[in-house]
This record gives sequence, structure tokens and C-alpha cells, in this order.
Amino acid sequence: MEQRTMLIVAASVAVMGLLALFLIRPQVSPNLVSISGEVTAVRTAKGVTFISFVPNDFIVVSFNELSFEPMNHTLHGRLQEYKGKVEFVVESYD
Amino acid sequence: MIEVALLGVVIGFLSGLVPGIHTNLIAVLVVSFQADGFLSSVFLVAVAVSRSISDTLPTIFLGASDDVLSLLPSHQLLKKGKGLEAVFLSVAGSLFGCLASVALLPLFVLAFPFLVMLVKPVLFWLLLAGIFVLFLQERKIWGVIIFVFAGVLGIVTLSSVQNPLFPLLSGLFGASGLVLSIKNRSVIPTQRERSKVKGKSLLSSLVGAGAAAVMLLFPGLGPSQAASLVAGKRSPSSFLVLTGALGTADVVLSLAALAVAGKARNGAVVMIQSLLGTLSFSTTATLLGASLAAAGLATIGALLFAPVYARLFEYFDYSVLCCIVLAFLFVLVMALSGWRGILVFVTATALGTLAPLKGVRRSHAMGCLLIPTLVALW
Repeated sequence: MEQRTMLIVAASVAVMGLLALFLIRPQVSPNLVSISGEVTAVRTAKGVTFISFVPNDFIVVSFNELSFEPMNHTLHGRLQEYKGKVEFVVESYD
Repeated sequence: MIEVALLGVVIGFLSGLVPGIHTNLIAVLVVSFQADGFLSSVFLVAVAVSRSISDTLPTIFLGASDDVLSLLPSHQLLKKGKGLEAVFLSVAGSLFGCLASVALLPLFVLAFPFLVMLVKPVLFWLLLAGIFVLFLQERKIWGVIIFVFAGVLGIVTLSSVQNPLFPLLSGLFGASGLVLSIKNRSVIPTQRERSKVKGKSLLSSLVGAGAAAVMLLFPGLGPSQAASLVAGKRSPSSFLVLTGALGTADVVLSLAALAVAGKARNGAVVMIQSLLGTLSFSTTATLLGASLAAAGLATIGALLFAPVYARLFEYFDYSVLCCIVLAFLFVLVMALSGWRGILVFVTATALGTLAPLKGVRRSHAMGCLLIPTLVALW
């Protein structure tokens, strides 16, 4: 394989990648979302913090080391799809 | 999102051209900005893949010494005026390694979680067996001595120094080669244009992607250790394709390992895990798209820029360039790891220099990571 062929292959791969970026719509909310409610319980397992939150229409988790007191909070984070369910990933809170 | 990926490709490509600026360093900076987690992840993947391709240039052109026994195949080619060929082979390995790892993904996604469970109880013995194979390839006592010394240095460094990998690895594998080049007043001949790769050599990219997949089963192992373990008696061209493929396939398959098993085995992917936590199918597909775009664009960049990089040696004295790079590494180590880092850097450089002086491969110094991994698995 010569350099010219390699450049053509590389350009094709780059176009494929850029097309993928253009066409795939990641199921992640594009910006930080804030939700307010009551943290009723906090449980940690394997480095993931699972937060019971009211209203509880979705799973609320945190991958950061955040220590919550069970009370009213405003959580800042991102909505994403995980195993077919909507998950709210907390990045910070007030 | 596309513009973020393109920015990642440019930053990754430029950082790869400067020895010492590792993806992990950029990843730490990106995370510290607290920017959008998803876009930061796209950026990091593009940086990691792009950098894994462009760092071929300084690896090949800034690491040569006169001691043939110690030289990696790329340096041997450089000394024969075939540095551009070495770049071509390595970059071809990276591109086809990326494609091969994407092709392997369906099998990897099915098998990886199962294999992780299967090998977990015997990880220690498998790694030990791999190390014995490494020794048997050369059968020299100095190889064992350097392996053990590097292991002790690794254990001490990993537990007591900030950003331990930078002074450790840049000393053992970067600065030691530069010191020998300065000592021997290496002269690099004019690099001839010859860019062709045999189809048979390209098969090594499939081996590289496969080796990267197996390597991900072992926590603590990286592409360098995997290259040491699977290199065998390959021709220089096959070896270069293999190592090129390993570096890029490592990033792509690490993303898949995070998505299917929650295991982050690569510095950039660890940061992505801290930003996004879990990866959904669409997120993984987007990050793989960024990987492909980065691999293609960085390959084009590396192939077009290589002759310019090679021409540097016609205008500058090679020893002076080596001194500048060495000084740059020294300053970076001081900034990232402090005085303890300098101590590690100097010790690692001395140890890395010992290998070629005793006529054994410098890859034995990978004991600095393999022994701590064995200790952790015990």
C-alpha cells in the first residue's frame, strides 16, 4: 500500500467518523439541567451514589464524591439514557 | 459537537508532536475547567486518538542512539535514513488498528464481561507467565536485574510521587535514549522518501487490536507492556504496525470496556468515566465516531507533516535538539511532580541507560509497572 492509498483510506475513515458525529443524536441532555426536590435517602455502592429523590420519575446517581444531607436540594447535572431508562447524573448541588 | 471533535484532533495532534505532553495531562486540565461533561468527553477521545498517532513523530525522530542493541526498530530505520518509512508503518498500524478494533467491537462487547469474570481469579498467574515468556525471549541475567530494579522503582514511585508515571516513564524510555544520543554524538542521516507498506505487515494491526482487547482484561497493563509481551521475533515493519495499532486500539476498546463492563482501563477513559459515569449506546457510538474522525485526520496530518519534521535535522544539530528536549522534560517533571519527581526522573534515566549499555532490551524496564501490577494482584 502506497502513501496515496493510505491518504484516501484515512480521508474515508475521517468522513465516516464526522458523519457519525453529525447523524447520531446522543441521548444526553446537551446542557446542565437543574431540578429541585427532596433527597430522602442516599446509598453508595461500588463508587456510585444512588440518591432517592422526590419527585422520583427517574434514577438519580452521582459519580462524584458528594455528601448529601436528606433535605431539600437543587441538583445540577445531566439527563442521559442508561439501559433503556432515563438517568439523572448529578454533578453538583445547592 | 463536530467542532469540539475537530478542536480535540488539533490539540491532540500538536501535543503529540511535543515529547512529554501526555493525554492524561490534557485530560486533567479539561476536567479542571468543569466544562460540559459530554462535549469534554468527545474532546478527550479526539485528543487521545489524535495524540496516539502524532506522537509517532517525536518517538521516531527524537529517541535514537548509536547502540544498535538498544534501539527500537523505528530508531534502527531512522539510523538508516528510513525514518519516514517508520512513520508510515506506525501510522498505518494506528489507522488500521482503529478500524480493526471497531470491527472487533461486536465480539468484544459479547465476550469482555464474560472473560473479565473468567480470568479474574487467575490474573496474577497469567501475567506471571507472560513475564517469563518475556525473559525467555532474551535469556540474559541483566534483563532480569533491570526488570527487578525497575519494579522496585515503580513500587516506590507509585506510592510516593505526584503524577508518578510521567517522571518514571519519561526517564526510563525517553530521557535515557536522549542521554545516549548526546553522549554518542549521534548524527541522523538525511531521511529518504519511501512510503510503502506490505499487506502482510498490515495484518499485524489485527494482532495489535486483538492484543489490546486481551490487555484490557489486565488492570494496570498498557500498550507498551502488551507490545513487549506479544512482539516476539517480528520484523521491524510488523513490529511498528503492531505498536501503532496497540496505542489506538487501546483507546477505542477502552471506551467499549467502559460501556459494557464499567471498567475504565485508559487515562482518558477514566476521566470520561468521572465526567459521564455510565455510557449509553448512543453516547458510545458518538465517542467512537469521534475516534474514527480523529484517526483519519491525524493520519493525514502525520503523513503530510512527517517530511517537514524529518527536515528539522538538516538544519539543527541533533545533539542540541536532544539537549533542548531533555531540558523541557526536566522542567515538566519539576512542574508536575516536584523534587521527588526529579529524583525519580534521574534514577529512571540512569536505569534506562543501563539496559542498552548491558546489551539488553530497554523494554525490560516495563517491570516498573508490571511488578506493581503483580503486587496489587497478589
